[in-house]
Amino acid sequence: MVLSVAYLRGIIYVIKVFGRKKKKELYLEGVSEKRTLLVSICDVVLFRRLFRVNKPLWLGEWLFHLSFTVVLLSHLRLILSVLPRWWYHVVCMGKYAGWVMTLSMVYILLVRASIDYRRYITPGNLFLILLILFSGLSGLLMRYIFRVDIISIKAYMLGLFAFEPASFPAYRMLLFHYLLALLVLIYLPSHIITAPLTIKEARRRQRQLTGRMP
Amino acid sequence: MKRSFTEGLSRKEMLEIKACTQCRECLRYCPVQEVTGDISIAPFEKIRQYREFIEQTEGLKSLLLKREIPRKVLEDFTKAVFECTTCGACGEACPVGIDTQRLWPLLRREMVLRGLGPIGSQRELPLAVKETGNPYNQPASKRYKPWFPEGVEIARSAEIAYYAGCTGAYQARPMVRGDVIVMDAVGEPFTMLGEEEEVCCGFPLFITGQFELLESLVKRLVEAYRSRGVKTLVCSCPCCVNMMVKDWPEFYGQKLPFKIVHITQYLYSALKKGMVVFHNEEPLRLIYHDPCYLSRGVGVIEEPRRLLRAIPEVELLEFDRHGRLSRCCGAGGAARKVFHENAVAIARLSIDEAVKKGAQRLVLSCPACYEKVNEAMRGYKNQIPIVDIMELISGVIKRRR
Repeated sequence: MVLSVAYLRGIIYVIKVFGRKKKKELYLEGVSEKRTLLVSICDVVLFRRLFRVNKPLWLGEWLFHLSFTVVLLSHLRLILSVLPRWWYHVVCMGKYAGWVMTLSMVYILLVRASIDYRRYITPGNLFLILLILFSGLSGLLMRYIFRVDIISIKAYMLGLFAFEPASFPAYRMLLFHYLLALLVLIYLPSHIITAPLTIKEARRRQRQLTGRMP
Repeated sequence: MKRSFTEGLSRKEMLEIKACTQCRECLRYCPVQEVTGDISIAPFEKIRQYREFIEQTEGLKSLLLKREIPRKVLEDFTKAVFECTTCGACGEACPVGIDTQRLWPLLRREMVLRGLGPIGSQRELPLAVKETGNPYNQPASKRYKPWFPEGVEIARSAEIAYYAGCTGAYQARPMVRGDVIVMDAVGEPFTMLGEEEEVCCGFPLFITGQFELLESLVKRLVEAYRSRGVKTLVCSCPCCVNMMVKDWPEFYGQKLPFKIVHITQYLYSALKKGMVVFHNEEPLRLIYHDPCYLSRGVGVIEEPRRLLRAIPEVELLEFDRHGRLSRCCGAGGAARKVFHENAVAIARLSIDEAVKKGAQRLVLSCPACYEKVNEAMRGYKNQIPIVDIMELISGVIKRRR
């Protein structure tokens, strides 16, 4: 009960703070929002800002985020009862994306370690990287070595969403993978939501000021 | 009622504080990190700490684990945020585009409102500006007289006005003298406010989080220019230009009645129109340093380079980090007034690189850089002549007849 109230209060607080009236920045007036939006979508999708400052890290981060998205999309088949036929191709891509995601985590760790391990890796980031690395590894192991019954997993997941949970399929590797995935969800950084907005703002500032001050 | 840590922040800044991924990419670009290596004052750490302040005092975490933030922690944070040169290199390198050049002054403001900042001699700035009109506590009578070139006529009113700025007028006089010679060579009538009228643009107060005098200063200056029929205000100090472009409209309460133009933009436009020509016979190998508030602040990067390349016999070199990713000279953010050793050490990094690249002169275009790099040169093993871009051009410019 206490936790629910605290949680609700937290949600209300976030809405209150982020629902504040947007500050009107007079110097940014006159920038085309539509064009900024289009360019900033490219910035977000291609991680252009990171590319400019650190190309080796960009490669790992871009591959990771792309493959992570494909992996998530391919997992949708476990929680949605009906999916279009073409979703099969997404699931097929998920197989390769699993490899890319796992290897990109190792690559990112190596790139960061090559700069200066102690200065460039925070404990929080390291924890998240290891979490994703092991969830990727356990997923690959289930695909190639410790085979699991997808139908029973789907039945369990659909049961959860219908508030009628079935018994958890008896696979140790699945349990390990599932626990890691839940931890990833808990530790999922909020920049997934906020960063695209700040990247768009950065592009807007740059468009307004570069070579043409008001 | 207790003050909230989010009170002085807009939605944009709140998002930025939340968006920091703690990737530490900023570490590689922070000049203070280059000379101190102190992670506790790194950009990502300041954002993490501030986020922690918010979470500890409001929101979900505060409800579960309510506790006061120890004063020592707040004091350390204040020192960290005031030790920064506010150069904005961290924000420019930030993969998620956090506008740190704007965020740091706002966090400083928060600490000032909590009675923890500013630090050391920065506290004397408002009184100095209030009494003398400039942060250097110098008499207004010495604002123009010691450096103003002879024979240059100033119109009572004109569509173009020139603002010298306090640092140029009191600390980097060859620079402002060069500005006026160049303005005169262009040949368009221009006006300037009187010595008593031209006061501080407000930047030193803004950057140290002391906003109280800003509205009156800005209104006074804008009204003075408006009464003279000014349509374009030309200025060479990047900090002033930045303040005029971004903050004057906020403190004035509406769009400014005139355009702000950096002197390199003004001169480049005159050069393109054929109003002036450059004459030089001496081969010169120059290296140009981008001031933080000119390149990252207002995006003026190409014009100074085009002007320098237009001088005959000039070879222009570049620092490894130039343009939007340039390295600070160490003088920014009023930190030089308190963290003097950091500022000198940072300035020497640029001196070393300029010498290593074999430049004959280091070209600057900011009075604060001019003052600090000159100071850093004193008694240092590496030496290179320093020149302001307008000081250099004033020696080669001729009005086209």
